[in-house]
Order: sequence, then C-alpha cells, then structure tokens
Amino acid sequence: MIGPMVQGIQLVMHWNIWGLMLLAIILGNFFGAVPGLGGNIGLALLIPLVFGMHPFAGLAFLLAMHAVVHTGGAIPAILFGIPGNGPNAATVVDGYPMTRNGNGGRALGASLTSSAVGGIIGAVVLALMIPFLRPIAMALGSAEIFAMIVFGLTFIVSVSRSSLMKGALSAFLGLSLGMVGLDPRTGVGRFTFGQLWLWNGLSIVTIVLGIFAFAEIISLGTRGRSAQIAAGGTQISRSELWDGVKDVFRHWWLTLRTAVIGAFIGMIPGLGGDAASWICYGHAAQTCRDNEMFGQGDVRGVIGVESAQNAKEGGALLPTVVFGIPGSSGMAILLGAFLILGIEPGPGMITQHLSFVWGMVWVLVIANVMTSTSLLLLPVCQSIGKLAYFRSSLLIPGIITVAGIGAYLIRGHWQDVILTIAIGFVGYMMKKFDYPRGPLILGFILGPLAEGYFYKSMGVYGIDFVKRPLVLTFFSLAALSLCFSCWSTYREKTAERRLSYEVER
Amino acid sequence: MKSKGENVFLLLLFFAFCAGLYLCRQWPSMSRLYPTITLSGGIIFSGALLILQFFGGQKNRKPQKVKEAVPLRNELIMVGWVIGYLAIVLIFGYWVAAAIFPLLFLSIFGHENWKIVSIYSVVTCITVYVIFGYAIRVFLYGGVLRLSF
Repeated sequence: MIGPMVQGIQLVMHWNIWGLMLLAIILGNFFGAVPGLGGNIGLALLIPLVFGMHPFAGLAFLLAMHAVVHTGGAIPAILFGIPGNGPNAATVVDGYPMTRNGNGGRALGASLTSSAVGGIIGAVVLALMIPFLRPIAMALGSAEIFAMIVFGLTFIVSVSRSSLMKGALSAFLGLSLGMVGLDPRTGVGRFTFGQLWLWNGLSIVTIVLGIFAFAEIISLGTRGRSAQIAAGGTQISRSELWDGVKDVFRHWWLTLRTAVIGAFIGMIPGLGGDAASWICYGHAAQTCRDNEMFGQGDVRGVIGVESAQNAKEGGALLPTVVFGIPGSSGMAILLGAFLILGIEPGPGMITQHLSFVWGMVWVLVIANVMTSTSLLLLPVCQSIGKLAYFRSSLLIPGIITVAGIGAYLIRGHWQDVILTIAIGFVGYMMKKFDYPRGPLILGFILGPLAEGYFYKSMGVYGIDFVKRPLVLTFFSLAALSLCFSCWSTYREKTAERRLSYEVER
Repeated sequence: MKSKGENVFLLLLFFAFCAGLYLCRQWPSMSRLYPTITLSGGIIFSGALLILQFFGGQKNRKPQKVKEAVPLRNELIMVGWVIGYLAIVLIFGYWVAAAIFPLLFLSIFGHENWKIVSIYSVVTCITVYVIFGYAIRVFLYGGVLRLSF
C-alpha cells in the first residue's frame, strides 16, 4: 500500500502537472461560477485539449478541473443567490441570507474551507475504501437504494422548519415537476403536451435558475433602484473570511459527517451531486442544536452542503475507476476521457495500476487545497464581493444576462428560457409568501429517482424487497427521522406559543 | 383572509394539481402511480392551506415576521422588465439582448447617466462575446430573426 502511495506522489510531483492543475482549477472555477456551464460542459470542452498528453497529465488536468467546479459555483450562490450549478442551489438557502445580513465574507470563508476539507475527506475515503468497495457495491441493490432515497425524502421536514404544510406543498410541487417527460418504462409522455423538448424532462438547472436566480432578481428589483443585496455599508474583509474558516473547524464534526455522507452518496451510481447536497443539508438542519436559524443564514447550512459536494467527487470516482461504472454524468464523460488517454478503468486499476489510483487521490487533495487557499489568500473574494454592495440597477442587467444565457445553454432549447422565467415567477411568489424553496428542489431530484428504483426493486424482488435487512434499516431510519423532525418542530412551536402567551400577559 | 395574493397563488396551484390528476387518468397504471400519489398530495396540501387561509382561526396563528411591504406597482414593473428581456431574446436573440437590455434597463429603470449606460452595455456585449463566442464557442439563440453567428 505504501509503495503505490509514494509512486502516486511521484507522479504528481512534476512542474508540468502542477502547471496543468493550476490552469485546470482556474477553468473549473469559471465553469462552476457561470450558470448553465458546469463541470460536464467543462469536461466536454476540455477533452480535445488532452489528446496526445501523457495519460497521467491529461487525467490530472481533467480531474482537477472537475473536482473544484462546485467551489467556484458557491461564490455566485452566496453573493447573488444564483447557483452556478445544480448542487450549489443548497448553498443559496443559507449562504445568500448570510450575505443579505452582511455576513457574506464569513459565508464565503466557510464555503471555501469546507469545500477543501470535504475534498480532502472525499479523497481519503476513496483511498480507504479501495479494498472494501466490492462487498459494499454488492450489498447495495436497487431495493436498498430506493430505501435510501425514501430516507433522503424525509429530510423535507427538516428543510421546511418554518411551516411543515408549506414545506410539504413545496415538495409535492417539486415531485410533480420531476415527473415531466417520457416514462422510461412505458414510453408514455407525462405532461409533455406533444412537445419534443419536454421528452427528456425538465433540467435541474432550469428549475434552480428559476426558483432561485430569477426569483431573487425580481425580489431585488422590487426593492427599488438603489437597493443592495448586502446589508450595511461594510465590504468583505479578510477577517470576515477567516471567521468563516474558523467556523469550519469549530463545527469539525459536522464537516466530517457531511463529507463522509457525501462521499458515500457519490459512490452510488445515479444519485449525483444534487442529492448529496440536499441530503447533507437536511442532515445538518436535523442534527444541529439551535437550528432555528437554518434557512435564514446559518453558517452550518453552508458548511454541510459544501463539504458534501466536494467529498462526493472522491466517492464518485471509486465505481468509475474500479468497476468502470460512472457514478454521475460527469464521471461518464471522465470515463470516456480515461479511455481516450489509454487508461482502462476496471478491477485491473487496483491490481496493476494502483499507483495511478493513488495519483488521482493526490490530485483531488492538491486541487482542492490549491483552489481554496488561492481564493482565500488572493483578493479574489473581496473583489467579487464588492459587487454585492452595488445598487440593484447596476446588478440586475448583468445577472439577468448571465442567468438567461445559462437557462438556454444547458440544453440549447429556447423554450427552456421561457420555462425558467415562468418558474422564476413561481419562485418569487414562494419567496414572498414564505414557502421554503429547498423542499421543491429536494422533491424534484429525489422523486423520479425513487420512482425508478421502486420499479426496479419490484421487478427484481417483487414486493418482498421491503423485507431485505438493509431496506428495513433504512425504512426504520426514515421513520425515526420523520418522527424526530416532527417532534422537534412541535416542541419549538409550543415553546414559541408559550413565550408569546407570557409576553401578552 | 391573510393575503389575497397568497390565496390566488394557492388556488392556481390547487387547480394545476387537479388538472394534472385529470390528465394522468388515461395513462397505464405503471405510469400513473407516481403522478397520482404526488398530485393527490399537492391537492391535499394546497386545499388544506386554502381552507386554513379562509377559515383558520386568528388566535392560534403564529405572528408573521414583519416584512418590508413591497408595492404591487414595483412588482409589476420588475415582472415587466423580465418579460421584456424574454421578448428581446425571443425576437432578436442573445447577442442583441446583451447590448440592448442593459442599455434600456439602466437608462429607464436605473436613471443612470449616459456614460455608465454606454460603458456598461459595451462591456456586457464584449464579455458575452469573449466568453461564449470566442473562448467557449457555443451557439447562442439568435431569436426569430436568427441574428446569431
């Protein structure tokens, strides 16, 4: 084990690899920060550049780019409420209110640090899990994944603390939007209205840009031409960023937990980064003490999501490299790049090319540390953060232009732009009338996955799938989670009512 | 009644869920199960919230957070601007929208001086071209007039 690990370091320790990784993290942050681009488009555009490169150099370039995409995506999510890509939507929930409360620097510091720590933990999980991957992968069938998704859906309650009924309605709206498209089992078009562009369903980017970005644009504009996103007159300072860094280490147990959960979710093919971020956000909201500030600007909401997102990449790399089964669409593109570079993923990677796998672990660690350190030490965040103090009349045209292009780029359908703006109006109304928007995204992501895995489980095991031990465990956890969340919400409301009664007396 | 706007929003959701349930009745059972569950859930919760809005007791209601009241006029103006942007994109495409929209918005909504308006519009146009047209080379929609390159 030590030998391949050292050989892995030797592979990375070349000036040209470091140079390529530096270029890759700049590009990765850019692709992450521009809505509608994201890691997949970045990978697709950069693959032609690696033709003719040494296999490890090409791999380090693409992997470093893909590993830091979510770090860049968190910056517009926190400062302007515009998620750079789908998984960053969960960062908006607490990150953007922090900026509005004048704590944008702290949110950015926490986001960058937790991303780096999460990335490192994801890489460590990748390294540690190599020998145990096969039994774990064999233990998780469609039934277990379905039960796990049901468990994830119970986090809707935790994410909608302000009002359970409104949260549930929001979740059902998300679940309903998730069913649009051709049903893969019967070929029936569900709510496609004969439109070809709806056959593949709605894109998560369309939903996220509408529900968050356009809703925030309208909300900002309604406050007048001189309104600012951030409260107060102070700008992001270095000390604020460091406060965020300290927050991550103050909440080290949460960072570790969400990173490990994120890495494990990454290992499961088909769940993806969106599920990882929302499940970890729900976990953070449910398990943290004094959680009444979640959704209104709690730094722990940012930490939980960001550490999970970057840790997920390490986890997702495992099935891709070891079995040749990509855990997500990004990993599928990366798998194609591996083949172009002459690297054949499969069990042979562990037996014959272990030093290469260790090299990947080191690339993940270095890329994450390099990104967060450079963004924290260089005055990048302060410069971008100044934009949050611009008056709305100057911000809105730029934001609308970027979000509008993002809505089109994701699939190249002009109809998606209309849909994004229509969903933006719904998002604005939800924001105005205090309907939590997180459950909608959680429902949209997990609903169709749950349906797909339910029918697969029924096809393979019949109704007996519910009797499988791991399924029973996850269902019990789901029931416990639901009861715990309802009980804690009830307790909070009773305490609030008692307090208001005493104040009245 | 708490808020007219919220009632309208809930009514729209309620009817959308009902329409969805009506539409899915002719699909095969395998395709219908998931929509039936989710749409029924939507109907139940939107209906329950509507009933609470109309008949819910005021005594037990939790005091709402005091929010800055936004005049309806401001909301309509912003909705109009967003629809205006969409119209420019659909007719003239993204390249023209990148130049025209900031110009119109800054001068009419923002009352900015002509220097800021012209510099902002030119910078937006150049940035969009450099990033999407030159560096990434993606095709951006040219509108019904097909003004793209």
